[in-house]
Amino acid sequence: MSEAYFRVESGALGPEENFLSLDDILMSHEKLPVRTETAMPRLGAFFLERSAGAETDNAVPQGLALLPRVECSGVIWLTAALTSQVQVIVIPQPPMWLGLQGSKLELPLWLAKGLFDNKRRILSVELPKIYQEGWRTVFSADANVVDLHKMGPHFYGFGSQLLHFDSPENADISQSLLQTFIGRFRRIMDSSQNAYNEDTSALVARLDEMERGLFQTGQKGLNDFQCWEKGQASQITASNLVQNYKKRKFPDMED
Amino acid sequence: MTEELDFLGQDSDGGSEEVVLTPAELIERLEQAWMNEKFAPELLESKPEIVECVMEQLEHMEENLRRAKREDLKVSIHQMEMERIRYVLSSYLRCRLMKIEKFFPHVLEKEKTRPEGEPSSLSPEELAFAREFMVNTETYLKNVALKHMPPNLQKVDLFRAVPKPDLDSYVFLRVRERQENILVEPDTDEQRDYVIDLEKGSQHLIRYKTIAPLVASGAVQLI
Repeated sequence: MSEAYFRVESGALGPEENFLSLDDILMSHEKLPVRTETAMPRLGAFFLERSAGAETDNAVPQGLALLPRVECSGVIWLTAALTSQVQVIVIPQPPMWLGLQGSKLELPLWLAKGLFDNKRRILSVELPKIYQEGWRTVFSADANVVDLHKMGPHFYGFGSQLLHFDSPENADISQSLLQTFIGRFRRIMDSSQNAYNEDTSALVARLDEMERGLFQTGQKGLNDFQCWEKGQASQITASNLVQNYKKRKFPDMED
Repeated sequence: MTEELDFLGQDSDGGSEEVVLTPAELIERLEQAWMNEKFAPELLESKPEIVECVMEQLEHMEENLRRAKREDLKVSIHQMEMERIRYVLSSYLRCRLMKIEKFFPHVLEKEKTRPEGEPSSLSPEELAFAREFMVNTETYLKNVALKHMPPNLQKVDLFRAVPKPDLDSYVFLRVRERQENILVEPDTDEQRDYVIDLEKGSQHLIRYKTIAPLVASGAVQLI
């Protein structure tokens, strides 16, 4: 209530992401492996950029690196032709062969969601490893030891939005997400309520973004309560929105 | 607490209500409205009569205190009580303003489509505030970002962009009047709808959507 600025919270755990939420924007930028079902002629260069990063126009190794995940037939001879040149001018015209049916790409979530259609004309989505059977059994064994930050820092949000793609494993994925959270929640709550004035980097290192948000809320509650106990609650302090303005450095310099 | 208001006027009915409220009841109603507003996920009905009555009471008390003799203890206790009531009132209004700011397109839409007989969830000042806020936000977004976009992307639909209040969130409540046959919808696909009765004095944790009309009528109290 004493906040100066209310951020738009993430809606990723609900039915839809929130348009204005920064957390959701960051989350939906993560990549998802996808197979194209229809040919997309002349769009190959666009997707190439998406899947492999910057394109350059010199050096043979980079020419090769630009074609890593395309598994269409007929592409092998073109790769060979490119590498035999000294100077490779990479893809000035969008190559037709990249739009063939069945090519594998990695698209960000927002793009995959936009292109996904119930009649599955354009894309079919493959689940990333961590939402598949193998990792699900790891989570059900013991959820506390997994480093969720490494597994994609937006594990819960991304997983919840993945359910939109109508995979047959949806029920299992949602159960697994829920059980993982239940398993880890107690430790997060405990550590956030009892770590006062300490360095908490060891505690938050293995948490994903949503859990870190929870941890910070817990810490803030703890700090506010301690403030109130010390009687500092009625002291007027500078708002956190203006603390970094240059002119405010003056009171700091006096001390 | 409010039994100490011995030198306050006896007639406490400041508004145009037929019901005569003692100051104690008025403060209790204010606190109930405050707690309901704090824990409900959406903006509740506005209670202009309570707000006006409380403001009048506070003014009376201030006048009386000014006229009273300099007996330190009594005066300072009454002053403390006035500060507390003032805090509750301003916290209540602040909570409502925060919700208006958070959900402004939905609040304005609800006000526009409200049928005639239903009480409004916005007081006239709050309505003016919400409208100004909407205009200011639209102007701000246009000047900062939208006017630099290509012409077919220059609109943002605030009604869809701003998140709706989440009526499915769970709330704690205490039952004040016995209720029967409340239909509870299932959380998961395996459960089915079932019907519960709410006993007086019992406390529950339930989805807000199920009991929203009961909060409005005062039959349950959010805690």
